[in-house]
Amino acid sequence: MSQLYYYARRMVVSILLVFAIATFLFFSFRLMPGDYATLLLQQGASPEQVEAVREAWGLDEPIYIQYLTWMGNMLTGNAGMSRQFSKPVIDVVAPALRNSMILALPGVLTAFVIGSLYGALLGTNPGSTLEKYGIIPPNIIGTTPDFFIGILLIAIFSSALGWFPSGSIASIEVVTNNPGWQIYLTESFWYHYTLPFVTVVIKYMYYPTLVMRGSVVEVRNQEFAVYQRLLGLGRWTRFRHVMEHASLPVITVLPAVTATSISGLVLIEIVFNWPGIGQLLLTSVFARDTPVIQFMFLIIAIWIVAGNFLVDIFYTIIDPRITIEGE
Amino acid sequence: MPPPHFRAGDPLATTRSFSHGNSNLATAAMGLLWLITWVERGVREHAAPLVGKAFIRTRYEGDIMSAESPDDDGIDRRTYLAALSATAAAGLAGCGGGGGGSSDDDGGDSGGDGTTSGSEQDLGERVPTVSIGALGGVAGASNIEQANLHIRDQLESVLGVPSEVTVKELTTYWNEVYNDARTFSFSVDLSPPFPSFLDPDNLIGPFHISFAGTNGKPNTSNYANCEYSRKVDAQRAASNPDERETLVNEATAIASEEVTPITLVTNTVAGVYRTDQVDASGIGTAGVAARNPEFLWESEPINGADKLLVNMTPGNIPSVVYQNTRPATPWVGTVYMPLIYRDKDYELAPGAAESWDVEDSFQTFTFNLREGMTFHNGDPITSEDVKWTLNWLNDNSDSLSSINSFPYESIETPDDTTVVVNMESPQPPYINAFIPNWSGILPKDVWVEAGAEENPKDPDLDEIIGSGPYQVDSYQPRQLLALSQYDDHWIETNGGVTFRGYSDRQTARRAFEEGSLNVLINSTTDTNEQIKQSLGDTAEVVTGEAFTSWEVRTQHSFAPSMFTEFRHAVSQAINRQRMLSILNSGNGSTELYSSFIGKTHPWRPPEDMLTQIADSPQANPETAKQILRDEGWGWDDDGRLRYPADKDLTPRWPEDSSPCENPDDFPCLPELCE
Repeated sequence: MSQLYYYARRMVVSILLVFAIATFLFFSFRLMPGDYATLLLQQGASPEQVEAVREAWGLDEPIYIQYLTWMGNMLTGNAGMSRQFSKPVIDVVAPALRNSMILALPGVLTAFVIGSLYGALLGTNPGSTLEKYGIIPPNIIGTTPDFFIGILLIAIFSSALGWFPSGSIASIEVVTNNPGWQIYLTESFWYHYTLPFVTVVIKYMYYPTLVMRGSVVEVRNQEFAVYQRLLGLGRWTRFRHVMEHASLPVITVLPAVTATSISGLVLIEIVFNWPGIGQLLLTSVFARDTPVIQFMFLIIAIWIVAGNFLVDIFYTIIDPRITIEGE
Repeated sequence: MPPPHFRAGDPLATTRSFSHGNSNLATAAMGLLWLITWVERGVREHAAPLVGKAFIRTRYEGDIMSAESPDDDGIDRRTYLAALSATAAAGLAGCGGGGGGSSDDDGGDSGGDGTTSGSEQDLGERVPTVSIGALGGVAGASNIEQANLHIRDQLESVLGVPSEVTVKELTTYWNEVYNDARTFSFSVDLSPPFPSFLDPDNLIGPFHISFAGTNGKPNTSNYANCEYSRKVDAQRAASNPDERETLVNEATAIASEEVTPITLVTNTVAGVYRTDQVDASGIGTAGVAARNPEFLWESEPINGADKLLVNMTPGNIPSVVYQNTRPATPWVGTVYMPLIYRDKDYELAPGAAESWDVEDSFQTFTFNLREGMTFHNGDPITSEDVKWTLNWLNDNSDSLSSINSFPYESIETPDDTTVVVNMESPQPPYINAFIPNWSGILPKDVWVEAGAEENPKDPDLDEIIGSGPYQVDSYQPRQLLALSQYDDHWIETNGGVTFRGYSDRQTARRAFEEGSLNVLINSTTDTNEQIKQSLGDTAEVVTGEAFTSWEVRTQHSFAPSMFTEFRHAVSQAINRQRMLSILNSGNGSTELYSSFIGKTHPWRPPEDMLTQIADSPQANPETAKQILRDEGWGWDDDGRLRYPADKDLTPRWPEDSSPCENPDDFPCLPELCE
């Protein structure tokens, strides 16, 4: 099986998977009770208005027509209009996604680097006090809800010590004067960025630490590692070889953790009033803004599928034997 | 109009939800939250069926503010502990049923407490288990559930009626009541204090007979009374304000006599401001709220603060086309000036129109505009702009979800400062509900150029040009609406206002405490307490009663809630003082009279027209029982309530149907359905 065929097959499978997820999302949202129009009723709209809104949004069409229309639009890059924001969905989601990415990606990557190194440190010192007790903090933090870590950091570093602000992306003056991406260049942004960033790092150090520790323990007992030790190779050289082999499981969980961090981000963003997709998701759920919710779920699904695809590709670079799958 | 009911530093209640409680407790308990979640899951799967209590369904909704919702939310510690201990006790005892008698056949030990009356042969069948629907998935859901649990307890202990509470997700709840699904008989609810509810039509209109039954229309009690509905229709076509007032009072009185609704306590609204940054003024009855423009105009930033910094639910500032958002409070009276606005005491006050006339039975409305007004780009505001705004709203009422259409016959502009609106039929709510909320004057030229006529929901506006006392410095959807004073305006404000989006109340509270905000609107008693603890006199809490009330909505289509005496007995059995504690943390006041129109509402009918449905704010168990006894109801030896022997229990109309589909049963139909 050629490498190219392997890539092509994985790509086709990934595309089909995204298509299936999109279909599932569409129908699961339509099967939920209530829609944007019923919400209007509670807000005092007349039944005639609600009917008009249903008609305007095509909610009175048969569900298969709605599905075909939606899928056709998605394929042409049209995710529809947000009902509450009166803007194209992509225009609504893009800035929120940008704000979330700038928090989640560096945060999770930093957590993986630090967590992997810490896990390797634990794994290479079996039986030591560090190995015995050093695993306790990541376990405690890993099983603590994300938002609680955020609240704890706010209580210590904002309320008690007053070192950092308790939330928001920047001060009101800076947000007022810096619409768009320029805000990332301001000092106020980075000042506000610190606590949510540290929250993400602390929370997501847990996975790589545990995975890397277990992996290192396993790898350093393999024959090649024993042989290298017998050969008298330097400590750092052996460490590098062990890390190279032990890193595969960590790389495997990276895209999944990055994607699941979105669910944690919802609460972290709310605690820190961070205007990202978590907050947008919440606002949209309250408003039953289905086009926005569907699109965001789809983005998250694509993220996981694409991440797994990239990991598979990356595997073939680290360990070329993986390309012989099926033989 | 009743006097304002504001006071600072209200006494704090003892009942509060977990997430807003004492901060130390909250901090410690949140650490246990994940553990509780797992325990609850286990309990639900393994032990809940043994107990058979719906309250085990309490769930964590987060601490989230929703648009204009009454208030707090979050897991309720006491309910949780009660659920867990009840479950544990049931499990340990090997108890396989009961829980207060939740089936029709079990005798149970509930209720009645020695009130057995007559012989069982004189009585009809047992009143079956009554379902109570608790609105879930909304802010304040935990408190609403507790209030419903209290009704359940009173039904069981006072009236001897087994009952159960089921949490209904918001849209499920609406779907069921709008379609008369008959899945529950009672539910605690309220009308939100939106400015549009200051017109009585929005409060009494939904209970029209044509909205009852399985038709998707919002008659949340499925109330069907011909005389009431005739009065509702008549007030819409009244020829003068006095006649309309009489008709509104009479309609409310009819429903009141039928114990519709079971009014409980007033709804409260609270706000806080920092005394070191704000010299507050213009508070009035409307209070510290974005919907009170006079508070924003008259309050003065002090000690170096140059603006009022106000929290706002992100969903309330999603779009510059604010006509698609409800409520529109951050925009109206600030960026856009309506012809008439609601002042600090909810009274109509002259806005862009310095005077107005209503003639020809609410069919002709004349507005006399102020001279010399300008938009924020310096262009003059003329009657042509007003005409275009009103027509644009009407033409796009289908796509602008908050806008009602009106049957305009013509809109005339005899000169630059006069607008005459002629309607094809009388429209009494026009001046009360529509004009103050939606007549913010738009600059015709700017909006036409931006394509608002072709694309009303997303015009391509380069900048926001308003007509109000504030001009827009920056607007970022969901995040921020920053306003500064517009100098060429007849209203002189005392500085700018910035609304900033916060979806979490506690996050907003922290921002308020550190000084990033100096006005906190829609605050809760728990939030207020935390603020007072941390800031002391630096924070001033203002709590007032809203013009809507918490009430029990009762289903009128089927037994037993279709019987007036049963509704009245339930009303008497409820402890309103307890409800005050549960729903308002002790703030506000109890309501002893049944009325769709709240105590502080300008259209509240005189008390002698309303029916008193509670002898006292406490529970009145003896009165409750006597009301039923007088109508022939009684209790068997097990203390279970039974119908009178000859009681006709046939539903008022068949299931999956509506009064309009059964005109023979109602003397006023079918004409009221047309």
